[in-house]
Parts: sequence; structure tokens; C-alpha cells
Amino acid sequence: MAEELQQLIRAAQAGDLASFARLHAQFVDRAYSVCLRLLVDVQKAEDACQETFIKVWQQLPQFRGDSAFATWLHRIATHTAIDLWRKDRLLRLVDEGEPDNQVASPDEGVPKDLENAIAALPRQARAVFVLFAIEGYTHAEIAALLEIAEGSSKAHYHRARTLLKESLSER
Amino acid sequence: MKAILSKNALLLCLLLPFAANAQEPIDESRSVSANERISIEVMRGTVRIRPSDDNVFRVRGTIDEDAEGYTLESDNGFTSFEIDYPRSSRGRNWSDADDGSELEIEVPQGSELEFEGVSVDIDVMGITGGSDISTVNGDIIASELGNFVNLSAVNGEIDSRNNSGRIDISTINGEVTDNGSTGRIDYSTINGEIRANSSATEVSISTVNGEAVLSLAGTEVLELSTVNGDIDVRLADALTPRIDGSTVSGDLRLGLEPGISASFDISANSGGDIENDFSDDRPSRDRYGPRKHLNFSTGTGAGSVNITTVSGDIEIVPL
Amino acid sequence: MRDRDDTAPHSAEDDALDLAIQALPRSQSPSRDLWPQLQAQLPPRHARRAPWAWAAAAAVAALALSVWIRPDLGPGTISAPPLAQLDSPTAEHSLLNVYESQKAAQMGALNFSNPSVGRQLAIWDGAVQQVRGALSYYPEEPRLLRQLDRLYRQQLNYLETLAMVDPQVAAYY
Repeated sequence: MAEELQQLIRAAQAGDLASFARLHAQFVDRAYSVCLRLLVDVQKAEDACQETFIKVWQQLPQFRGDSAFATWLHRIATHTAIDLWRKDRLLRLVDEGEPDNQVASPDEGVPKDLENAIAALPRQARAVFVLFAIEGYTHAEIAALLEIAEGSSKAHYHRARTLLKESLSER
Repeated sequence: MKAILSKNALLLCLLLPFAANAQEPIDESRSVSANERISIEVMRGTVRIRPSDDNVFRVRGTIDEDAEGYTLESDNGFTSFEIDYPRSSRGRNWSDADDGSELEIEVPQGSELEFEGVSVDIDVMGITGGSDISTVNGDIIASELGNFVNLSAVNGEIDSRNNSGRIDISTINGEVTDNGSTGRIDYSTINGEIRANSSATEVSISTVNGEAVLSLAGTEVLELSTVNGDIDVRLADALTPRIDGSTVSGDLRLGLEPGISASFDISANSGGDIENDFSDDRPSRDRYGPRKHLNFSTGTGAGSVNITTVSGDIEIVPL
Repeated sequence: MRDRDDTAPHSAEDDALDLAIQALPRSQSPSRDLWPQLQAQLPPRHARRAPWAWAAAAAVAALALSVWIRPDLGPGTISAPPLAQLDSPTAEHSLLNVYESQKAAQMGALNFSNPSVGRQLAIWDGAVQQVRGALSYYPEEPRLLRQLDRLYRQQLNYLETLAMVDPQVAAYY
């Protein structure tokens, strides 16, 4: 399996589109997932996902396998989604008080409730929560990614938890 | 001249005592932490934010006559202040700034501040925990801010003074003026002019039609991009800078230290001229196409100057 | 400031939340196949291409052609290039095709018309023409392709910003 992946990577590095298509098929869901949770908008998540794989294609020749391919790709996806997330700021100026789009979740029940509650979090709290609780980034890493202080990241995370607990207990 | 007048007008607005009119007065304060996360939303009017001497969030002035009130919440390190409007006003025209809120807000110096508005002029100073300031039509005056500093407007002017850290300044149509910045700075406009005096170590500038005049000192990494607008850069105290520039038809003039060590790679793809006052090297011309190309090195060649244009003129001159 | 991650008291609600977080799927599939569009956007590598990729690029170029020859595309329209340029699929064609359709979609989504927006887009159109003129001499020149790419990204960002700002607000400018 690992060997097969290495072969695909090597072929894609050499410019083989068919191999890159297979890498795309293998990793697109994971990349899309982080984009969707951060951006809470299917169109934007798709855009971020596309941009991610364009960057991966461009940077692939430089990929030396220092980190796992999945980790490397996921980091690019996260950065790309956050760039778009940052641009999203102006949206809030005119979207006052409107709940965010509801994210479709494959399962019913608690995961869906939680998915919707995450989508409805204030945007900074949502970003921090997704990155910390779901994606496993540290607060120091999140601080650097979102350009906020580390203390802010922790505070946003706790605020997100408080809001999520409230939201889930109301259901 | 126009820019100076409008800035003075803004200053005058901010200094004038708040007029007594139909707008409701407000005078509220809360004890907060020294590094409070503060979020403020004011749709229209003028707002001035200053550091407080104590750990207090304080807001005084008058609120928008069309507002139905305000919300001030402070809990667990977060303070948020918003002017509330009736839901029927969603999608309304916020352009009558004169009827808007006039607020003077104090926050602890170490706060991390997020401010959003639409037609609001904002003057913010002395916040070191990070500032994210955005308005659509208003002007921004931002001084002595630190840490992460984001200043964004769509149509408004941005006047940045002595800010430090990682600074992002963006407008579509507004003019950008920056003086005394340090750290790392990105300027981005579509139409707006950019005038900057900066000692930032990394500088990136992107404009479409706007003209940019930069006087830089000690910048190590410089990225320049323009479509039609002309860019004029003086880069002092940088002997091995890494410079990347791209123009379509805009001209680029680059003043560099005479003792610079760098490899130069400059191409004009279709009609642009390359003028080199650094060395005797002259651009060569493609035999089968319109491209001119100049390639040479100075000193040890440690730095790099890569510039490409389609039809703009490129000029490199020693300071 | 203490790290409250470790020190905060853990309630039954916290446990329930943690369980729910663990149950969240780590992957979610996009609702449509993103590959065909992605493939057309991929910039060229100066390496060998699989034969079928050439066929795909040719298809993209054919599509691009059909975009060029439509007379009614509005202010974002690019004019038809000389026929001599159209005999082979290039990165330039693929790029134009993808970006022009994205741009048209974004412009369709903007529900206000503003002369200054049209003027601004015309400036980009002019710049695109200039870069394409240079590309006609130097096809696949990476720096020119990057410029073309940048010009379209700027336009898309610009349109995106306009779309985000309330149309009534934007209409004043």
C-alpha cells in the first residue's frame, strides 16, 4: 500500500497526470472535509479544495517525503482554506445575525447536530475549534495560522466548547 | 492635495465634541483583562479607539439614530460591543455616516482587537495585542499597533503610522499611506495609490492601476506586482536583497544601493525598455521575437533581482 | 495565563461533547466530482505528459475556442486570437478557458451593475490581451503564464470582494 503510494507520488512528480488523478481520488475527501468545516460553504470549500490540489501539483516536484504525503497535503489544504477564510471577513459585514449555512453531514443524530452547531459558531471560535479539536493542531500552531495570540486561540476554543455544549443540550 | 484635505476633514470630525442631536448617548465601562479579546461592530459613524490606563473597556459618545440599541457583553476574557439595528434594516444603505454613531472607546493596550464596520471612519492607536480592522466605505487611521495588524477597506483611505509586526493593508479603491512600519508588510490595492516609508524586512506590494511610491530601508525580501500602475521604489541599506517584480504595462523604477551584491535577471517581453545604470551591461534582443533580456551580476551575486514586464519600462539605478 | 485545556473541570456535558467530536467523520466527500475541472486548471509541467492528457487538453482548447467565438459575452469578453494561434492546445488556452468561465459565473452572481466595475474589468482585459500577445511569441513561457494567472486571480478576488460587500453599499462606488 505504502509502496503503491510512493509509486504514484513519484510518477506524479514526473508529471504523470493519471497518477495525480489517483492521488486526488485518494485524498480529496480529507482535504475537502477541512475546507468545508472551516468555510461552511460548499462552493468555497470546493474552490479551496481545487486550489489545494493545484498547489500540490505545483509543489510536488519539491516534495521530498520528509513528512508523510497525507500530512503534507493536509497542511496545504488547511493553509489554503484559512486564506479563503480570512478573505471571508467582509461577508460578515452584511450578514449580520444570519446563521451560517447548515453543513450536510452524512449521519443523522449527534454528529449531525454537532456538525451544525460547529457551523453556527462565531467564525474565529469555529476555526480554532475545527483546527484544535478535529484537526489536531496545537494552540501555538493555530495562533500562527490564524494570526492571533496563542492565548486567544485557547480562549476561542473554550468559548467554542461552551457554546457547543449549550447548543447540544438545547436539542 | 485632495488626500490631505480629506484627511484633515476626518481629523476634524474626530476632534469635534460630539454634537447633541437625536442620537442616544452612551457611557458604559467594564473591567476586563489586560489581554482581553475585544470585538466591536459599528456599521456607520466615526469611532476612535485608544489604549486605556487601566484594564477597562469603556465606550462613550452617541449611537446611531437608526439603531435600536447596543449590546455589550463581557465574559471570560471576551468583550463584544455591537450597535444593534432593527432586522428590517438589513441590506440597507449605510452610507449616511453623519447619522451614525460617534464613539470614543478605550481598551487595554494589550488587547486583541477586532473591529468591523461599513460606513465608518475609524481611528485606532496604541493597541499591541493585535488588531483586525475592516470597514467598507470609511477611512482608517491606524497608528502604533503591534503584533498582527490587518487593515482593510474597500473604498476608504488607509493611513498607517508606526505600526509593527505582521501587517496587512488592503483596499480596492482607497489610497494607502504608510509611514514608519517595521516587521513584515503587505500592501494591496486595485486602484488606490500607495505611498510608503517603511523599514519592514519583508515587503510585498500588489496593485492593478494604482501608482506606488515606496521608500524602503533594510528590506531583505521585496515582491512587486503591478498591471498598469507605475511603481517607484528606493531601497536603501539592503546589500543582498531578494527582489521579485512583475508588471504588464506599468513602469518599474528601482533605486538600489550602489554596493549591492545580486544577480539581475530582467526581461521585457514585448516592447518594454530596460535601462541599466548599474553596470555597462546592456539588454540583448531576441533574434526571433520582441523580447529584451538583461542578465548580469554585481559583487558576490548573493542577492537576486528578478523582474519581468510585458510592455512596461524597467529602470534600475544606483541610489 | 494558564492553559485551561488541562485544568478546566470536566463535566458530563464535556464527556458527551468529546464523544460527539470523536464520532465526527474525518472525511467528507464533495457533492460532485472535482477532478475534471481541476485537471483543466493544472498548470503545465515541463515533463512528459500521458497521451490521454494531450487529448484532454485538446478538448479543453476546443471548449476555449467556443468561448472565444461567442460574440455576446459582455464586458469580460476577450477577443478572438489570430487563427494561427489556435492550432495546438496550450496551457494558455486551458487557463483562459477555466478562468473565463469562473469569471462569467462570478459576474452573473453580482446583482448590480456599476460602470466603474466594467471599466476596471476592461483594464484587466487589456492586460490579458497584452500578455497573450507576448505569449504568441513565447508560448508556455512560465513568467508570462504566471502573469496571466495572476491577472485572472486578481479579477476573481475583486469580483468576490464586490459580491461580499452589500450590493447597495458597493453601488455607491
